[in-house]
Amino acid sequence: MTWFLLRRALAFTLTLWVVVSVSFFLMRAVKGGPFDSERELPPAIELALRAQYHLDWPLWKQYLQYLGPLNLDAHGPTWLGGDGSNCLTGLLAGDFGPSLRYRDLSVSEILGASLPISLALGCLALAWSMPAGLLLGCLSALRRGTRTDGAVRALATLGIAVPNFVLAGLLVLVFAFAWPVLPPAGYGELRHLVLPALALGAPVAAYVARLSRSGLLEALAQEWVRCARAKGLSERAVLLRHALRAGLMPVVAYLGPAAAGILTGSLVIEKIFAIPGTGSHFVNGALNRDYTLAMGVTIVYTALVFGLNVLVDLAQAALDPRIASRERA
Amino acid sequence: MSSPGPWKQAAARLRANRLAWISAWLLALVGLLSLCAPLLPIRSPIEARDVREAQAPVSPLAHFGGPGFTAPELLEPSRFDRALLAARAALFGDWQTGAWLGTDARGRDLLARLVWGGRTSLSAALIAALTSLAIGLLYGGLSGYAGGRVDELMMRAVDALQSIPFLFFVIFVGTLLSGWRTELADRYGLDREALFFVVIGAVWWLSLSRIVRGQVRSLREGELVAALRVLGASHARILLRHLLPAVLPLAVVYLALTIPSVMLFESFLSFLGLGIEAPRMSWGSLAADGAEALNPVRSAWWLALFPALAMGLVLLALNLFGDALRDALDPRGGGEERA
Amino acid sequence: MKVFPDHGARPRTGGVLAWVVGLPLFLFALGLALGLRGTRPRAELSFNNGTEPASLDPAVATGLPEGRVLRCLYEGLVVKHPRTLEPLPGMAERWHLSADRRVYTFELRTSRDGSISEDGSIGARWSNGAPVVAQDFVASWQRLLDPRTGSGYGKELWRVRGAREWSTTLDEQGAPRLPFDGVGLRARDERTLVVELDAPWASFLDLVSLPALLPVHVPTLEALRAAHPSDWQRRWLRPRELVTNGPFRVLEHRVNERLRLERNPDYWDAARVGLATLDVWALESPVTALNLYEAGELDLLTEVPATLVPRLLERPDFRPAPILGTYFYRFNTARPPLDDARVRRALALVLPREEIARNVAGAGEVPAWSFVPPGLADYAGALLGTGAAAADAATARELLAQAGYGPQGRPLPTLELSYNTQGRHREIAEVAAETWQRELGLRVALAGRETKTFLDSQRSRDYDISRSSWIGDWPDAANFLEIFASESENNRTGWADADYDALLARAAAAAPAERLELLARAEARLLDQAPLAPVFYYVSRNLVRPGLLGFEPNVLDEHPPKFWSWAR
Repeated sequence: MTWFLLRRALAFTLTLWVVVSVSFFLMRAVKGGPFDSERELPPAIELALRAQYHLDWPLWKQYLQYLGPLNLDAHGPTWLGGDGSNCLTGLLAGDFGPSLRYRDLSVSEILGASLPISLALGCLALAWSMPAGLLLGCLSALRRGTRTDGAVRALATLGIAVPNFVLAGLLVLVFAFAWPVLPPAGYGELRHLVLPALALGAPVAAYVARLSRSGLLEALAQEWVRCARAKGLSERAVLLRHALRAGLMPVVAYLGPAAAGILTGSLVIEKIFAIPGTGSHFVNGALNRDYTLAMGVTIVYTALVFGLNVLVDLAQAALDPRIASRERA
Repeated sequence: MSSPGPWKQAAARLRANRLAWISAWLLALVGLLSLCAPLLPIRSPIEARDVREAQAPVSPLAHFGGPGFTAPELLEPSRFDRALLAARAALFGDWQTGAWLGTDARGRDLLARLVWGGRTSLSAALIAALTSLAIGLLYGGLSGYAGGRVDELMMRAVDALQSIPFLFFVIFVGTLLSGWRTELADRYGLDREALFFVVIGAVWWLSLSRIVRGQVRSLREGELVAALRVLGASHARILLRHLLPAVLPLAVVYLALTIPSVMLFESFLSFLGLGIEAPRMSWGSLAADGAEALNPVRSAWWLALFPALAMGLVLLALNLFGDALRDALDPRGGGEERA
Repeated sequence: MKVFPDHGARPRTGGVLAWVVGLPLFLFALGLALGLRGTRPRAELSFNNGTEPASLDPAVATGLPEGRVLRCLYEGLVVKHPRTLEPLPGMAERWHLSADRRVYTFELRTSRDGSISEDGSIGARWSNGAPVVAQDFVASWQRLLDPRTGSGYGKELWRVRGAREWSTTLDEQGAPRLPFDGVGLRARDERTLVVELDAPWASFLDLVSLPALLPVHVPTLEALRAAHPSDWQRRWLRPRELVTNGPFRVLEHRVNERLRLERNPDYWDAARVGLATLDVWALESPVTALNLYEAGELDLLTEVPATLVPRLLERPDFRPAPILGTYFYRFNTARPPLDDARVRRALALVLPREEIARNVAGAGEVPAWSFVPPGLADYAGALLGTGAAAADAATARELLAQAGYGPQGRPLPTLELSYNTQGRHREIAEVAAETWQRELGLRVALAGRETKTFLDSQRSRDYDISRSSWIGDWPDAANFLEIFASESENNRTGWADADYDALLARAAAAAPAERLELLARAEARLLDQAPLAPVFYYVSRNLVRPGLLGFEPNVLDEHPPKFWSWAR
């Protein structure tokens, strides 16, 4: 177990480094800079601004500065020619740097304010969509070939197929205007979170339903389930005791990466429901050429995916003892 | 492996599945309609009419059609399209349908836009899916066949790639391409959008490569490979001629499931303004426009409903077909008799 | 195949079920714990600002959304009348202009001890209790002029005597080398600010009321800079540290959501501020904003979904009004065939302005036949073409033939029309492209680009035809015409014309009546050479809840919240 986690930690560091490096250089290969606007800055001013954020440095130096931990600018350590007032900076010193778009804020402040919001919304979306999807999937698998099955499958496909901005618009129209029980947008109270959580969770529920249905069917066809049936166990008992466990495997595998996406927020949902989460930074950081903010959200996302994938592996090991014994071997 | 046996069996099983069969026909129909969009007596998808706001659908009973068609020159029709347009002119003259599905805010016919948009959506999804299929098959096949340390390394690389936020990369590649569009078109004759979907496909192969690798691995241990080695077949030959064709059915299933996700992703990009560019349209960009039409002041519901419906139907059909295909190709002989 | 997992007896059902039930419950609880932070009671007025302001630092912020917030938080020497835009006393109680119209003397409403001043108000104070003194303005404007501050508007102050030299004579670190004494900005005493211009300039009071020239409390800045050398640039802008002098102050800042402002009790005119609380929302989606307006959460929108304008025009609360802004296309004059003025003029002539203004823009935008929008007192600018579509199209074809293109000459090469993929630019470009193709046989490729890429292509002049717009800073024709001067960094077309520059220079030095005449001649020259094709003049698209007083239409679309109140 320790060995497993240690190896994963090493892989994580390596992955993160690759992600940081690739996105750092890719981002700067794209045309346009953070200070471009319809109203042109005078050249001297733009130079000054670029200098303020060290964008005038050669790329390798900017990269080293971003990685840290040594501060290479005028405030860096004295042996590097600085005045020594601020020796440590960059990622390795835990500093994501200042945002180039939100000039009053650092990337850490922005992430600190927006990440809990996205996490909250993501948790609520997952909290309803996982059990709902599972329930539908089980129902569908048990009643295979019936109308219920058909209805569930159609519903699940619709949940996947309808773009979430259409679904969100529809929800707002129905629950905020036709039958005004919920606010159309905003953030702060539970009532604000109902519609976004519904819209955000719908595709997840649909995927879970599909995956659990096929997983369960697969499991129900296995010989050991037939064996259990032959032992005289009731269909429900077979399902709950044996098949569910195996049928959950693909669901769990899907949920890992999906949860990372859900938890870091969805641009579409945030935009439509006016939720100040991280999802919008993800896209806007890139579009605004807010290099530091875009890197910040990328790093958070990568870490989250990696962490959740480890959890998935652990969960799968718990669900299927064969994997666990292999890991141990 | 090259014997038609399993495919024939699968086709027979497919035919027994009524839903799958309907789906297949529906897909074929949609594909054909999109391909022949210039031939159909529909309106021009880009011709604006002098209207103040989106016009509601007109029942075919009330207004079936009338003259007035103009060819959509701005869409830069290919030679094939021109031939179809000429055929259309010969067949129908300038007769065109009424606004059966309504129009958008500029008076452009939604039905025509859906038909033409299906072209873009389907071809984009196909491009991306085929690219991912090619890469996934090759990578997964190599990894599985090589085995050992190479396999381990290649699979860890997939792990690493999987935790990269690839939306982010697609945005950047999209902006990169958007910045070099003129160079690409003039110097290399490349279409920015086709290239963009190749790129999307090029980042979509990760899960496929895992599946393929697993299959190839289990096949490699089998007797066939050993026998072929004894007969003196080269590694490349074994992999390309025998192993990859064997996992192809699986890959086809995967393809049926990838196309929907690419289409959805395209709609998301359109929502961001990074997707298909005007004057061309796709179901995704139509749906994105339609999202704005859902509001309490005046809901042009048809602008949201019909594109969503089109996507929904095709995706449903693809899913049903994909599921049935998987059941039909299942070597363990899955299928209805289990239920 | 293994029939049963070979280790352990029966798999425990309880475990899986516990997870299946427990995990969602846990997530639900976690979501609630993280997500419920409560909302404050609704503000007296909420308006949507369209985006999160880039900064609360007046020197750095340039956009309209920033301007709306900054005018709530800070007050300059003068404020503008909400309807007529005439300067009203702000931090300056009164001001006068010297006989040679070069020296402005502002008398501030400063009182040393917080006593009641002549007009019955308390003196001007900062929110930290310090009086607002003339030195604050000198220091703020010095900061603006210093290139290291990175202000896009510092250049506007270059008309002050010696300011240009001061901010362009720099050492190798980029710091100004000259002493600031040489600049015509002086605090004669705490109450008196003297500004000496190079030459008379009619728009100086307009400039003074720009957001960029709002004062900041520089001593606070300097103290924080000394205490926190690494992050003072952000620190002084935190709501808790921010020192302001305007009608409102920041109560709470929720990034990307809203800014809650409350009436500033230390403001000299606090009694006249009609709203106790004010919410500034940062919604980027106009549909969402409209939803909130319809649901009663928002009271004022500055932008509405374009497709809904025809419906909204029927409602009394939608109040579009002409503003000083022009939507236009730039031509890259370095690329053939656009290097030929006749070709550019031909393209400019046949734009389907009526159709674009009516059907695509749609809120009552006015087709533009000149670059400078109408609505400027006494300025009669030049016009492009006759306004009659058929005649203009004929002229255009003739111009093309003269340039050697068309049926008798060479075919026109395909040109690329680039725009940023936002809003309705795409549709406008489509209509323009269709018309050019129909009327002139010019094939146009549409090139939508993501915003930053688009801007980069425009500034590096890597385009054929490029969408643009200009919104006036103050009501003056020169504010528009100067962007096409050959040395202007906003020119972006490569067009440089000595006659045009000369006319602008003469206008700058001329007496008021002659000045407008010269500017009109410059505009005629501009339209004749056509490095640009005007498309339409903007209108504001304000959706205002009935009952809001003090919100008046004006050509700058500036609505100082100081004057807002609800009808009882």
